[in-house]
Amino acid sequence: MSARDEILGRIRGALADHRVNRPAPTPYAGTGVAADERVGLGLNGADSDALTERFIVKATQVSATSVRVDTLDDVPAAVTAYLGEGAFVQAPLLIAAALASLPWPEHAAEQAADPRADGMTSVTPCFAAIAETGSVVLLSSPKTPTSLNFVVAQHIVVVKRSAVAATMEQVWSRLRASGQPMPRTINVVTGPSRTADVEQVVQVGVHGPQRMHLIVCNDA
Amino acid sequence: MSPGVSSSSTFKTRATGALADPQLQAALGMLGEGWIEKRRRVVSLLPEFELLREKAKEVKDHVLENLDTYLERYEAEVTRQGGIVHWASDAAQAREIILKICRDADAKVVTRGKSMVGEEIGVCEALEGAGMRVVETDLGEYIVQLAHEMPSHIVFPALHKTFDQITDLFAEHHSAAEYDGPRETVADVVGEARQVLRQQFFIADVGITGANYLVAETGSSVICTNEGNGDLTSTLARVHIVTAGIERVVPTLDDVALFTRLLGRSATAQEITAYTTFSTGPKREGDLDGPGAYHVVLIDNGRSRVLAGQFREMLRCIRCGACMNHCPVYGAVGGHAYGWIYPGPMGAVLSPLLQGIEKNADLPNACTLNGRCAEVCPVKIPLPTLLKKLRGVQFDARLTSPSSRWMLRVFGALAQRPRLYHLATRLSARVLRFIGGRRGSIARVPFAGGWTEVRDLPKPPARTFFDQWRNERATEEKQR
Repeated sequence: MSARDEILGRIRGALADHRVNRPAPTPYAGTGVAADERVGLGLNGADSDALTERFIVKATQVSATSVRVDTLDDVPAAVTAYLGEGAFVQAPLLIAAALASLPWPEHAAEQAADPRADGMTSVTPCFAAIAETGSVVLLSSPKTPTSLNFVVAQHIVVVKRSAVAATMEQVWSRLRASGQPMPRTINVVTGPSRTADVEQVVQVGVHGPQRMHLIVCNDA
Repeated sequence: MSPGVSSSSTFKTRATGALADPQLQAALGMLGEGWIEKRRRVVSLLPEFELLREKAKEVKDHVLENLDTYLERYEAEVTRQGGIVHWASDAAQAREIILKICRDADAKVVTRGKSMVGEEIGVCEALEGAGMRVVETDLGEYIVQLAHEMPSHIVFPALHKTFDQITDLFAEHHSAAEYDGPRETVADVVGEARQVLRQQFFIADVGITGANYLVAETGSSVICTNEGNGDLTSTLARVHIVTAGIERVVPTLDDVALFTRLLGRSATAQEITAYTTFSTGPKREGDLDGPGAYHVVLIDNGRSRVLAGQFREMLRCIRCGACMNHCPVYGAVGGHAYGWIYPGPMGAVLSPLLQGIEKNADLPNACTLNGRCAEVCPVKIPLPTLLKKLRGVQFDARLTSPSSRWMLRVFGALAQRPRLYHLATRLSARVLRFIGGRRGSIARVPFAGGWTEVRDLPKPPARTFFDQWRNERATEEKQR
C-alpha cells in the first residue's frame, strides 16, 4: 500500500465515527467566512477615495513611503524625484517590462543591472492593493517576475487608485472575476522586509527590500 | 544536540539548568511582558477579533472533519498546476523523499526557509549527512544553525541568544572577506546577515520552505514571513520543495485571508506579516524566474493518530507562538527545557502526542494551569484542558511515580466521599496550624519537602472554606 493510501486510510478511520449522516462538503462553500459582512472594519462599503486614504495611512504605519501622482505618465518623474535627480541616471534600476511603455528618461544602468548585486531599485506595477492592511498584491508573469519584489534594496510599486480594494477577500473576488488563471506566485507585500530575531528588536531591511515606496496614481 | 530527538534528560533537570544559566535568563528577560502588551494593543484595534477566533476555529474543525476530502482536492489541484505531491507517513519517509528529490536535482547547496515541520522531520541533518550544504536563511534559524542548537521558540528561533552571543557567533563563522563591518547595533548584525546570506540564494540548487496554509481551491502553498528569505528561497532555487503537515490544508483563498488576520496579530503583533506569498506549481512558460520543479511533501508523522483521539483540537494549531509568549513557565525556563522543537504550552501537548507520552513524561506537568495560553490562542485550543487529559493518560498508563500515584489515589478516594473529605481537611488544617505556630508560615510539610524547599506554606485559617461557607449561608438564612 502506498503512503498516500495509508494516510488517507488512517484519516478515514479516525473520522469514521463522525461520518454518519454527514454529507460531503460542497466545493469551497463549506466555510462562508468571506460572505460575513461583520468583518472588514466597516471598509466594505467605503468609496475609492476613503480606501485610498486608508491604504496610504496603513502602508505608512509599516514604514512604506508614498507619493500621489495624477496619471501613469507621471510615474517616471516620481521615480526620478524619489531617487534624486542626479542619482536616477546611474542607479541600478530594474523596471518591470509591464511598465516599459511609460515615458522613461534615458537611463545608463538599466540594461547592465546584475540582480546578484545588492543595492538595486525595482519599479513594478501591482494587481491590487488592500486598504485594510496597506498591502500591495503582486502577481508573477513574464512581464512582472517575482525576483523584482525581493532581490532589490528599494522596491517602488505603482498603485492605481482603482486597484485599491477594501480587504484581501475583495482582491480574491477580483482575481476570480478577471478570468485569468491562478498566477504561479502571488506576493501580498506589506512594507519593507523586517525581523525581530535579534533580541526581539524590530529591524527593517533584512533579506528583502530595505525600503518600499508607493506611487499612487489617481487616474483609472 | 540533534533536533528530531528529545535529549535523554528530563524537563525537570533541563529547567533547573535553564534557571541557573545567566545568559539564558538575560535573553529571556528581554521577552518580559513585551509581546503580551504589543499583542494586546494590536488586538484591541480589531473589534472583530473574537468573532474571527470563533470563525477560525469553525474553519479548522470543518477541515479536520473533512480532511481526506480537502487533501484530495488540494492534491488534484497541485497536480493540475504541474506540481508533484508526495505523501510521507513518518519523518523517515519524508527525509527519504526530500533526499531523493535533492539527489535527482544533483543538489550541492540547499537553502531553507523557516519551517517547524522541517525541524520536526530533521531534514537539515539528513541532507548534510548526504554531503549537501544546507543554509538556514531565516536570521533566527541561521543563528541557531551556527550555534549547532535547536530553535527555542517557534517564531523567534534564537530568542535564547543575547546580542553578544550572536556577534560572537558571527565573528567566529564569517570571514573578513565576507564581512568587515562593525557589529555594534542590531542593524549591523542584520546587515551582516543580509550580505553573507545573499549569495546563497543565487547559488542554491534546491529551496525548501514550509507552508502556513495549503489552499485546496487553487493548489497553492502559502508562507507568511517578514524577512523575505522564504521568497528568495522559493523563487531563486531550481527546485522548490514545500514541506507541510497534513493539517495545513484550508478550503479557499478567503480562508487564508481570515487566518492572516489572526496569525500576524497573535505571533508578532502585526496586522499582517510583511510577506504573504502564494506559490502555485513550477515556473510557467515565458517566466524569467521561479523554480523549474515544484514539490509538496505532505507529512503525517502522527497527525492522523491525533485526529482519531481526544486530542484532535490540537490539530487546529497555526503555530503562532502566542501560547509560549504568555506562558510563565516558558518565560522562566525558555524553549530548550522542553526537550524538542515545540516548546511552551503547544509543545507540552504536541510533543507527547507526536513522539509518545513516555518520551515526554514531565511535559504535561510543566504547567501551572493558569489558562493564559487558552485565552490568547487564535484558534481557541483548550491547552490546559488537553494537558490535564494528558495527565490522565499518563496516570492510566502508569507512567507517573508510585508515590504520586498513591497520593492521587488517596486524594481521589477522599474527594469522592464528602464527609470524609471535610473531616480530613479540618484535621489537616488543624495540624498545619499547630506546625505553623506563631510564625504564621510553615517551612516544612511532610511528603512535600520538594515544594517547601524553595517556599513557605502560609498557615491555614482556623476554619476551612466549606465551614465558613456553611456558616455564612446559615447566617443569611436567619436574616431573611
